Amino acid sequence: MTRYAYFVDLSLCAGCEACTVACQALNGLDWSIRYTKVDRMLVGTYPNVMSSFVTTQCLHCDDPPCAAVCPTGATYKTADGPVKIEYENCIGCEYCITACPYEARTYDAAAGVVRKCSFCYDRLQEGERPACEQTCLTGARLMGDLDDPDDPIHEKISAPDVIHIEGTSFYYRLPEHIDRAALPADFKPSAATFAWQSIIQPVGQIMMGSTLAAVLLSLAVNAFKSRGKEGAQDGNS
Amino acid sequence: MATARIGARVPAREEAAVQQDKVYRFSLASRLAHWNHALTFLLLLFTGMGLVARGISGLVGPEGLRFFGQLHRWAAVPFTVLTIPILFFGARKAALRWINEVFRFDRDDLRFFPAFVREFFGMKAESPPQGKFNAGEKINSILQIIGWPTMVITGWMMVYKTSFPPAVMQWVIMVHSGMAMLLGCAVLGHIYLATLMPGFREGLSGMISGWVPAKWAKDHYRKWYKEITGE
Repeated sequence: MTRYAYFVDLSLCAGCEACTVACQALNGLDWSIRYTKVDRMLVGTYPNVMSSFVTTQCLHCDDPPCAAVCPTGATYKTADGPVKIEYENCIGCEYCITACPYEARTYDAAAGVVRKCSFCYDRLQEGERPACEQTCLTGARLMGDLDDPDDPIHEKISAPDVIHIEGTSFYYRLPEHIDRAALPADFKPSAATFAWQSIIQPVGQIMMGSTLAAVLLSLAVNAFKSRGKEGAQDGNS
Repeated sequence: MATARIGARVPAREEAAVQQDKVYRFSLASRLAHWNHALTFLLLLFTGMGLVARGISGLVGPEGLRFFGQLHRWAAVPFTVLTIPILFFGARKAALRWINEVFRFDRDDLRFFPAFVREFFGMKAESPPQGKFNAGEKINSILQIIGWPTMVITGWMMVYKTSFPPAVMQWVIMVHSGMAMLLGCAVLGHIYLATLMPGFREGLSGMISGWVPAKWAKDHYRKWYKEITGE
């Protein structure tokens, strides 16, 4: 089995945004659409200011709500971890944008579909590595397979100061002066999305089915009754 | 049988017109408002179901669903903007009476439900006397009066989903979807009663020509019949 994960050492990130641009070039994106973003963090007051960067992208959640709400199944979790979109099946309903806890998705108005980072899944299938990782000048990014004991990612993420974003495929290491709050929060399922998908939808569909069944039963009973009455009388009052 | 007390060839008011063997139930504006609401709602329900239920969306395919999405937004326009103005300009008095009446349930209204269930499944039942709207129609009306603004507000928010906080939209989508299915149940029953169910389908003409058979009105809407005919 394969279980892909991603480690970003933000203490090495220089904020050059090469990852953003490599990704845009590879995916042929408009410059306004970024699958991977780089935010600058400033800590302290002048002249004692420390600057560092936080990169974010789709965290490839273990139980992705975007896939749960997708009406066509265009978004789905692959067996080896990455959450993927089949763009030809996307109808642009944007439920996934609403469901995503990490603002990782963008509506591409020109194409009428929602886009996001795919973990370079197609490249992984061909034995290549994600473009953002390959292009990183400082070596801050490392993709790996958690199920492969020899994968170098194990050495990186086993360090005590590495933070796993719970419920996702992402691990970060922070520079000393930046605290946990700068990173994406641990994954927490949304009560509303759960209520919609697991309560309202099935209950609503059962209710509509029951109504239809009641109508059909009534139809049958009344048809049977009127047949029984045929000949006995013409109209009933 | 009702004597023709008022010679009403072109009835102006819903409450007053009686002819030899029929009574006037719904004015042209009331009927137009009903059919605008009904037809746009059915189109919205049909196209909307595909956008949430994966079984249906699998049958239609992504191209079909994109078209459904377009239809859904276009049908939302007459659904949103036409019904209230038609009622306001064409049937203000009748609409106010309707709103006033459907929220009031007297003892006869409550007794309607057990009798209705029996009748619905073909058992013998004595339905208590009803006003212009029977208790079932009152429930359906309340669902529409609450459901229409709910669907309109949440629906147009969904057109501009990304302008609102995702946490808000998650609840909005849930409400839109749940209310749609509740209204879907109501419309299934409503259509069946109005077109096929003996004892109820006779009322369909009231929403087409506006007139219903006097005898049927007397049997099913005893209090209303007394009010308009004096008998």
